[in-house]
Amino acid sequence: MIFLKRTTKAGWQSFKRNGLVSSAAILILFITVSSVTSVFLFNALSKKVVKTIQDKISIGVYFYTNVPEQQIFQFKEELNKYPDVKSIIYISREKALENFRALRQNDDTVKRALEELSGQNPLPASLHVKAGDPNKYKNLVEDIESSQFNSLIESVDYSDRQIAIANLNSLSKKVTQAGWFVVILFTIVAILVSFNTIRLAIYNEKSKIEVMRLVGANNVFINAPYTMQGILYGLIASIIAFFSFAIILRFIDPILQGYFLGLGEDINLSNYYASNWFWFLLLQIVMGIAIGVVSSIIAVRKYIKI
Amino acid sequence: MIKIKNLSKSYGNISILKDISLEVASTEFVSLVGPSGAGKSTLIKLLIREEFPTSGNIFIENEDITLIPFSYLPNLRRKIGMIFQDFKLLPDRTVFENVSFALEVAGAPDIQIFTDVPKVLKIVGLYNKRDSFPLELSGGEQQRIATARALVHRPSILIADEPTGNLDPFNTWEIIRLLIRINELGTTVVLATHDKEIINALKRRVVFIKNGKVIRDDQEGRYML
Repeated sequence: MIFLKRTTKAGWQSFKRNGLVSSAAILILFITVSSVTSVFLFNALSKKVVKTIQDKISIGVYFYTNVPEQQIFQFKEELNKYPDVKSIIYISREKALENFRALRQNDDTVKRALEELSGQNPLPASLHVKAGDPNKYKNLVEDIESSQFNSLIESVDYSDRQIAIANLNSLSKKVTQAGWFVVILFTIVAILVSFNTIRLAIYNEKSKIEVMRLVGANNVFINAPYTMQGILYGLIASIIAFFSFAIILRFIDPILQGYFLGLGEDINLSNYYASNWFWFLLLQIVMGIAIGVVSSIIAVRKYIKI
Repeated sequence: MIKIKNLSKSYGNISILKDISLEVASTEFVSLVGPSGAGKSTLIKLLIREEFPTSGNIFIENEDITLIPFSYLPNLRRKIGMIFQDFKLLPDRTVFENVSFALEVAGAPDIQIFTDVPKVLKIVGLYNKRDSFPLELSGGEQQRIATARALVHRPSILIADEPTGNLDPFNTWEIIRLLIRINELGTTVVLATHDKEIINALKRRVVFIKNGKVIRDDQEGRYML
């Protein structure tokens, strides 16, 4: 108990009295913790963007205009039994026309053309099918085209989107892989920078460690205040990083939402950060303290053998 | 108290100490004298196991310190009070904290620290400067902090390596008077110096070292090299 009290006091005093060195170590640890947090957020953002785009993809199955609704519903029921199908939306011919009118309400040429049709509806009914897994779209199209309802189908618009879907799948995988690669690389670089900063800070303490040894301090007694300093560096840096992100993300969100136009309401890093605040705080504190403590112990070890 | 047997120390081909044998009795005041480079500081470093001998043995209170494991060194150093020429103080700790550090490392309770440190600071005349930092004090005052630190845990042996080397004549005699007083209180004192005036004034045992060898050992020696 006495030991703990004394080492805590010594660590705190050294931290306080060497304000400049402590500030430098905290700054570097803050940058490290922030970098890794940023990479985690970037990874989450890229996944979210890809997922949102994927969610907007569907296969359009367009029927001949003379196909009765009854048969389309039968086909819909049949499709619902496919394991790869996540959801199906039916758009009737009337709804398709309504949507088309709404979409082109300012286009006079289209308006005139529709008037000339005098009440006739040239648009087909359609089913818009979403797959649970984007990789399954190709199989799904093959299944649709080989089904008994194929004779009702005028066209399936998958081939138009085939390249886009394939690209998106490939992009999604690459972004995830690159995300992890960046996480690991950044973490290693950041740890090395922090480690060397703390090592340099403790290099200044070389003569102090020598004095401690000569006065009869054992290794634990010498290490403990530096370990305590490492904990303080890490704790302060991670708490500053935690609150900085909470504030900065509020300013970044509108920019991101503007950038990813059309996906706006789905991109909200503040909410993501807030709903995972515990894990982010834990990541930041564990990382900050671990780098602080391990760097301190390794740095002191070098000078302890006197 | 201290027994040195056939002690030698070399760095590569350079021989610093050559087959030294010496005994220091309890409560004795011994001065190790010799010109710079004679091997005094190396001998002191061997006495606190800061260095390891090439051959020979050193017994402190009948324990061969050349054989003790690294993990036991702190215990050995707590038995010995050390004063260095360059003071070796902790610059970011106050006078009080520097002195109390020697007790803290030995696990002394707070009550002992708050009783003994003020006492020893009064002995060295620094009680009023207990909250100052070493760099705010003069060289003589810094050496008095180091002396207080060496005394506070009541070691049986006090080793002083050129303690007056960086001090003016006034502070030199302050420190020497302190060492005499400490010795009179029952502590064995080993003083390494090349200061002729100090040796002549002390009139105590003098061991002369030259070129790594003991060339004279006089019970009431004067400076003769």
